[in-house]
Amino acid sequence: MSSAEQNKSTHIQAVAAEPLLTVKDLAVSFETDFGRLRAVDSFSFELSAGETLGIVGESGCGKSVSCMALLDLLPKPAGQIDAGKVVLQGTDIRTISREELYKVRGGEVGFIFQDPMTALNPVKTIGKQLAEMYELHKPGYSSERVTSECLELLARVGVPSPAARLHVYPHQLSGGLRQRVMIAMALTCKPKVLIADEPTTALDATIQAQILLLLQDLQKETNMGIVMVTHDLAVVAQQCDSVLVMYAGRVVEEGPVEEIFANPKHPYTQMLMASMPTLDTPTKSELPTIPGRVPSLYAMPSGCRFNNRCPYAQMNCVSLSPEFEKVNADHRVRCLHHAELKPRNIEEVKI
Amino acid sequence: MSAAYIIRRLLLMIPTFLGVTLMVFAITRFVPGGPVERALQEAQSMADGEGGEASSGGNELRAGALSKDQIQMLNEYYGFDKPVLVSYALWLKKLVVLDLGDSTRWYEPVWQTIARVLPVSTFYGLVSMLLAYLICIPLGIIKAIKHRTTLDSLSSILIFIGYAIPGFIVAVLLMSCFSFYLEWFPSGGFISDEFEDLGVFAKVIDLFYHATLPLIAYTIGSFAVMTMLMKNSLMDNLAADYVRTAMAKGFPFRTAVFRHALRNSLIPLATHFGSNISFFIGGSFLIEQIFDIDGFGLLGFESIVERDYPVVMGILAISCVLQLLGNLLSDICVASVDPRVQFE
Repeated sequence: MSSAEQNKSTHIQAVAAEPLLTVKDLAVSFETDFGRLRAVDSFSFELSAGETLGIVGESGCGKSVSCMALLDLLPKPAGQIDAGKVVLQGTDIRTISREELYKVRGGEVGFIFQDPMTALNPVKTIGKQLAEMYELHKPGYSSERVTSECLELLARVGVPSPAARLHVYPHQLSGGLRQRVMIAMALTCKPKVLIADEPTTALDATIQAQILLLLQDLQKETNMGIVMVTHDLAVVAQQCDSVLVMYAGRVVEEGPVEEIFANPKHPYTQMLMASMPTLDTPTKSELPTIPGRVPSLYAMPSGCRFNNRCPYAQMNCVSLSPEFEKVNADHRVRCLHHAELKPRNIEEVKI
Repeated sequence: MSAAYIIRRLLLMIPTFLGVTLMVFAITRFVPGGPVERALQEAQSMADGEGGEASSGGNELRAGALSKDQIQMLNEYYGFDKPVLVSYALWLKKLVVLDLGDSTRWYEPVWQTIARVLPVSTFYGLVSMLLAYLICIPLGIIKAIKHRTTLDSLSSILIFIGYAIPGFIVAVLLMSCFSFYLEWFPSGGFISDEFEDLGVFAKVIDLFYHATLPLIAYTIGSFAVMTMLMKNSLMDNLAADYVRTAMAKGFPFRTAVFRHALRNSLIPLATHFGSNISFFIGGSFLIEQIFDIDGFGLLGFESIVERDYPVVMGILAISCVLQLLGNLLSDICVASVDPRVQFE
């Protein structure tokens, strides 16, 4: 099922050369009944080839919106990119023409979405939806060649008896198979970057593990960079090299996965980690939660956006908006008091 | 969708058809003012007329004008001498060989009466159906894409005004405006008197010259529902994940709409599509009356008023069968655009 083993030898570990994708100070706003509201602010990251970057945060914190904004896939005309750069292999995607952007979408950057049931068109066969990728990005291919390549792709992503699957509709497949089809579609053009927006959220645990393994295999094979949006910290730990923690439209902490998990600096990250059950957690005990709710875009607290839920909040947290500060070379955090906070201590963080 | 399913649906139409026709047939029996009473009334007024005054009439019918034998003969002629079920069975028996009986008003086979109004009604039915689809679908698409623009709001205002005003009022307004004051269009009729002498092109012009106002009156009310159905259903689909997927694959927005969202948003329209099978027996008697069009609406209405029961039953039988077939056709349409729908 996997040809990853053969490809391992040819797989070259990306060393800190020029990053594949650099996002700098991206800002996204939405037109609402209450006026134009900023949904995401100063969103930045760097992604190298072969690296997996996790973006975590609660629902509504702007994870998906940021990812959609990368290739200007925001719902129009409500959503709009206000500022920032998205540099893919040296070219700022925001400055290129629409036609070039269409080539980048699907060609250089592949997308996988959360719910494979709704992300595939219910009235078109799998084969047709796959073939559209060739029509868009490899227009010269004969229909026989398209079919044979589609079959190869489906087989590669672990779809059993692919020839039969070409003619079925999405509703005739299981959730796991649908997500495999989505992955096949995203990988048709061997993209440099794969953006996976909660790719396993709608799947059950065993299928989730299979899909994550498949993504790892494919990444080793093609050395693509993956941006993985999720709210599952376990997925981040297993899958990612580095992680961005988002809260209320801002990145509050970023760093290598081991560092963030071992030494979370932002109170929000600490509380997220604390709310995750471990094997030692007694069964049926109440899990710690973060009190309060994510502030709505209409009523964003001034200063640090976490100040109304933060157990360590002080006076200046309301008046000052924290900037990113370096904890060490790779680890950065947006908290005024991160240096004063003790290292992670679950008991203390539990409220 | 299997052939067995279609056959089963066709068989299920039979009891529905029997129920509908039996009910109406029974009603025609019990409603006062049937053909026998009409004959009596006519004979009465004729007798009164001979007597010098035409005052009597009314509901108080004296059997004096016709003898008991004559009434008996009339009852036999119209089949009123037998119980309801028996004469219904006789009507059905004739229906099986597609015999609808004779009109009691025109004294000709019902088919012939219906055939007289068929061309006119077919023309209006077909053209207004085409107009509705040709205008509503593109308009709905444009309104969905241009949601909340001036174009969208303006067209909404117009179609809802059209929806709010009854067709016959529109007809009167149009007629007084465009044929009475401005004299742009004829005040009625289906074709000109010299129609036969015209060339093909001139014939078409003449037809539409007469048909413009009635067509507006017919269709103006139907735009709102279908356009808004199209618009809202397309807007739902524009927000759907698979449209985002299509764009993430590299389709421009427009192509994503036409290749992915459109077919999905036609599904709600397909649920009504089958009813178009009865397009040629539609027609509002009020609009037909105003524009002096000899169509199905007027025929049906007059047949009821004049108690021309064979024609009433004939029209009912035809429209009932068409309606039932239309429902099945709608289901077939839905199944053909939506692969998730399967009839077993």
